[in-house]
Amino acid sequence: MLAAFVVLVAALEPLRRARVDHRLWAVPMVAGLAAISHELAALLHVSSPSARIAAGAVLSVTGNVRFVRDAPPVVLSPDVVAATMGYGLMVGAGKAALAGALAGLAVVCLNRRSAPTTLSRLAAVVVVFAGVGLAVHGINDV
Amino acid sequence: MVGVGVLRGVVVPVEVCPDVAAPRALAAAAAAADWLGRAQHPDGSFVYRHDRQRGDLGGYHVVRHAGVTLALYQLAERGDGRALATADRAMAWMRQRLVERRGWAALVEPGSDEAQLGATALLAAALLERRAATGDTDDDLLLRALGRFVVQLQEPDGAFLDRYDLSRDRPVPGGRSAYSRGEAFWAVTRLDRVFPGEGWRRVAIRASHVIASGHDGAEPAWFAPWPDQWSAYALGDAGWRLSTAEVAYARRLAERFGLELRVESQRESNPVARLVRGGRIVGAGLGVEVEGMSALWRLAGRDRRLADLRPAMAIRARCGAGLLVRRQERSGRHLVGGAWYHRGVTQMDDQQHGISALLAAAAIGAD
Repeated sequence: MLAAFVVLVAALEPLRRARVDHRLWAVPMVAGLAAISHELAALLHVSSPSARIAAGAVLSVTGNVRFVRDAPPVVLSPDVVAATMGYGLMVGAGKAALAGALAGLAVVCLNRRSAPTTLSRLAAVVVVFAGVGLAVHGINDV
Repeated sequence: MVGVGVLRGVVVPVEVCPDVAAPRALAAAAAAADWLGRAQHPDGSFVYRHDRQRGDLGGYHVVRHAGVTLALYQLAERGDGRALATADRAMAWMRQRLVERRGWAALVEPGSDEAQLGATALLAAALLERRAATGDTDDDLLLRALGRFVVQLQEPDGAFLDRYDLSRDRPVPGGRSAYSRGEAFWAVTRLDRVFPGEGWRRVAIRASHVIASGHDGAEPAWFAPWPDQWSAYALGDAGWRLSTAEVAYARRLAERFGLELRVESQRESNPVARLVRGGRIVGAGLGVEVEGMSALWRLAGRDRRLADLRPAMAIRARCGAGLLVRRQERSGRHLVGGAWYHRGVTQMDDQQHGISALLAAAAIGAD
């Protein structure tokens, strides 16, 4: 749950930095996505471990990209979707939805401050590590 | 959109899992046994490799002969009389190739000076299966003699040497195999169940501990745990309460088989996914994955420490069985229908593992 929260805050970092208005509906959006992660995987005919591997791959790539380049402030960016789904499948939809809601709220609150580049890069590193962790977790599963 | 397409087509393609009911799985197993019946020579041996276009490619492998016989007896246990007749002819071939010394007996490849552990272990497993299928106990003395050969190849650390030098009359030092260790482990585990109190359990537990530790020197460290369905069978048949390390090993095995079965089902999705994932596995390989997962599913049914994995194990094993049925040749030609061809060629162990896998998965479906 804590890991999901940290990763989602990191994934939402571009929104915080951009101070965009749609940050407000990022909260229910992320929480809702987490809540339906199992259903989404089933709809896509993919098992939970395979979906986590894919989510981990997406997070690793986007985290690396974001480390060297600013990401556009989009609520449903690939890393937000991947983190939400991946952790929804890993820790359970309820916990991930709660983590998503908390992460969204944290982003909203933190948005009153300026955003140093070091923090955004740290967020990118968190996203990369989370991606590798998700992928390894998916590989080491039945 | 391109990114979404790549993600869907390559990173996370559909897992294709054809549903297969138990009767369909059993029918597919019987069709494979029929292939073996048609591929059997008058002396009881089989066509080893068959090319769809060029026919019999020759060659032979005594370990695989024993494995095929085992699978046929597994089917015979389900009441398949034709499989029993084919298996008995194959058993006769092996009986003629036994070497007996000082109370032990071993199956030896024709013309070889070495007895392979795996051949004798699988012969013992086949005889045990025959005993279960027919109730015939005439081979009990032979079974014990085969077991004694296995035991004398066990080293102090519990691991097994792979070969016995018949000319020097001693085990070949140093050689260990990721295949024969599990075959030996399973053979002594089953001997313990059939002949309890005769000391087989001690041998089996020593083997189990060293295999579970990952330090038996047989499997490559970079690929651990080796997808060892024989050890999975043995753990599933173990008559003792497994240690924490053995359960952890079973869990790692399940994860390995699970990953391989998921990847295989994704290979079925589209040509690009197949290309990226290295192409379809041979029939024997897919069968091994289903066998291993099914054996662990049985184990999880009686060991609560693995119960959390059991639903996923059932899904993966049945998925693999569905793929086996889908990939089985349905042509009525003499030596094609009923087999699993890969790039135009089938090997007799494709049918061996296909039969064993389908039987095991059918049991899951019936549960």
